[in-house]
Order: sequence, then C-alpha cells, then structure tokens
Amino acid sequence: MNVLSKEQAIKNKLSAWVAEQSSGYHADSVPFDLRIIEQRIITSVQIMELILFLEHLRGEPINPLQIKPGAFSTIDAIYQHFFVEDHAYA
Amino acid sequence: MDNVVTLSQKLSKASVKRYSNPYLEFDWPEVLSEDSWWFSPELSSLCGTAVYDVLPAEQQQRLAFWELVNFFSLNIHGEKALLQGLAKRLYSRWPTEISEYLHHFLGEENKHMTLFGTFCMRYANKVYPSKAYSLNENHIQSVEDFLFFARVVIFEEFVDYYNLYMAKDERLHPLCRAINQYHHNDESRHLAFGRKITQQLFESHAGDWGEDTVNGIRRYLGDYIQATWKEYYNPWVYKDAGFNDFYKTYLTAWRHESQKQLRQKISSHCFSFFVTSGILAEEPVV
Repeated sequence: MNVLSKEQAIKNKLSAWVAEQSSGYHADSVPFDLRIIEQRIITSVQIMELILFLEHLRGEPINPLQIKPGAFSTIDAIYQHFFVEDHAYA
Repeated sequence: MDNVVTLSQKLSKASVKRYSNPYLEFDWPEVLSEDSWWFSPELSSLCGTAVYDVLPAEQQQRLAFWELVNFFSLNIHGEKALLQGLAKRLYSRWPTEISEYLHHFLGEENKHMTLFGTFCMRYANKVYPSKAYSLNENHIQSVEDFLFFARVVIFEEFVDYYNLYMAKDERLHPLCRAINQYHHNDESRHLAFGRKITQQLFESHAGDWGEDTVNGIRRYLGDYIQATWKEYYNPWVYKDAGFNDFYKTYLTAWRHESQKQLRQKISSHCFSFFVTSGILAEEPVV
C-alpha cells in the first residue's frame, strides 16, 4: 500500500464513521474539509467515541490531555494530527 | 441559600466526627492473589453478553481486576475535576458556612484519590487515561455553578451504586471491599450536599435563564450522562484482560441490551432526582 492509498483508506474510514454518527450523510459523502465540530455534525460526547475509534485505527492509546485545539475540526485535520504529525499522544 | 447553609453546618459536623486517616487504615499487600474477585461480576461491563458467558472463571477474574483498575481510574479523573471546581468556589459568592463544608469535601475527595491512585499504581502500574474531551463551551456564572454541581451529583450517584454494591459483596477481596466502603462513607454526605445545592441553584436561577438556556442545560446534562457512562466501557481494559479484538468487544459491550438495562437501573435513583426537581423533563435513555 503506498502513502496516498493509506491516507485515502484512513480518511474513508473516518468519513464512514462520521456518516454513521450523523444523519444526512452517506459513508462516502462526508467532504474531508467539512467543519464537523463547527457545524455540530459531531458533538462533544461523540468526540469521546471518535477518540476510541482513532485508537482502534492507530492500535495504541491516545491521551486526550495532549490533543491540540483544532485536531478534530475536519477529517483532513484529524488525519494530519493523529496519523502524520509525530505527536506523543500515548 | 439558607437551607444549603443549614445542611453545610450539619455535614461539617459529621465530617469532623468521622475524620479518618486512610494512610493508617489500609494494609496494602505486596502482591495480590490472582484467584480473587476484584469486581462484582453482575457489574462487569461485559455481564450478560455472549462473550462473558463463555469465559473461564479465571479469565472473568482477570477481567474483574482490570475493570476495578478502570473504575478507580475513572474515579480519579472525576475527582480531579471535582477538586478543581470545589477549590474555585471556596470563599466566592456564597456564605462562609458553605466554604467550611467545601474544605471537608475537598479534603475527603483528595483522600479518596490517594487510595485509588495507590491501588492502581501499586498493582496495575498505571491509571487509565480519561477519554473525556471538552469543546470549551462557555456559560454565564450561574449556569456554570449549576452545571458543576449537577455533574458532581451524576458522577457520584453512579460511582456510589458501585461502591455500595461492592462493599457488601462477600466474594470480593477484603481490600477491594474496604476501599469501596471507605468511599461510600464520605459520598453519602457529598451527595446530600450536591443534591441540595444543585436543586437550590436551579430553583433560584431557572426563571431568569429562559427557555433556550434551560433546554441547552438539559441537552448538556444528557450528553454528560452519556459521556460518564462511556468511561465504564474501556477497550484497553479488554486488551489487558486478554481479549484479542478489544475494540469490537467494547462496541459489543456498550450496545448490548443487558448493559443498557444495567445502566438504566443504576441511573434510576439519579434520574429520579433530576426529574422530580424539574431539572430534566424526562429520564434519559442510556
């Protein structure tokens, strides 16, 4: 799997997850730059669920105290923060 | 606030009378026996699921140990937030008698955390991180005060059910029972205070807040209740207990009908308070 397809695969999974949490979107129809917090597509309770899903995708725990502001703003941002940048979340 | 002041005075006297020193009261074994129960099976987050029913007894006990570590961990996180909120409200807007009780409240919560932290670090070498994440919602002061104490009541009502149940459960290791009993002894006072001030703040301010704010408060509390319950279902507990597909186990546990019934049952006393006091319009489904 090359880098691009890995990125695409993870973003697709995130898109499907977001769609599952909210009515109005199909699995492949959530734009990666959609402001999911600002537009209240995802609530604070669902963020907790999202953290668990991200842990599942990453295969290691995430410490919410170390998450930067804006990390959940869009699917692009989530990918960047949790799968690209070298943060010590665990 | 007169009735809160009266109750604060009464509770302060009770706290002085029952002042305790957990550093002297507890014996911590060097190692724990692996064939003990550390968490009541009926309260397990997997109880009632097909996964749990086929587990050999020794793996149910292993799971029970990690469920206790998770329970103590979520207590630590809840009490950390509690200490911050209580300290912030010392000598602020309310009569001195309330601050005097808040000192006891703070001191007792700190002692609980010491017990939970000692157990987790000594025997599990970790405290599970909380998954709670705040989106920085800002409220006016009266709403903030009300929500703080409402959160205290919700959090403590749930943990107290577990404390009381496990303190009485003769199958459990004596250390586990003793910590749960110790916590319950103080929580009954904290809950009495929490319920009284929550109700008082709501009655004093709800008329000024307006319908939109009250509806927003109800949504917030519904979300907080869900989030509080989610902490009882931790995929990393299942991993530590030896489950391979621990995320799937988590989803199974959270969604299982028997677990929904368990949550509803444990929540019923808490929900009854919020509905009868008019804070919530109806009991949430958890």
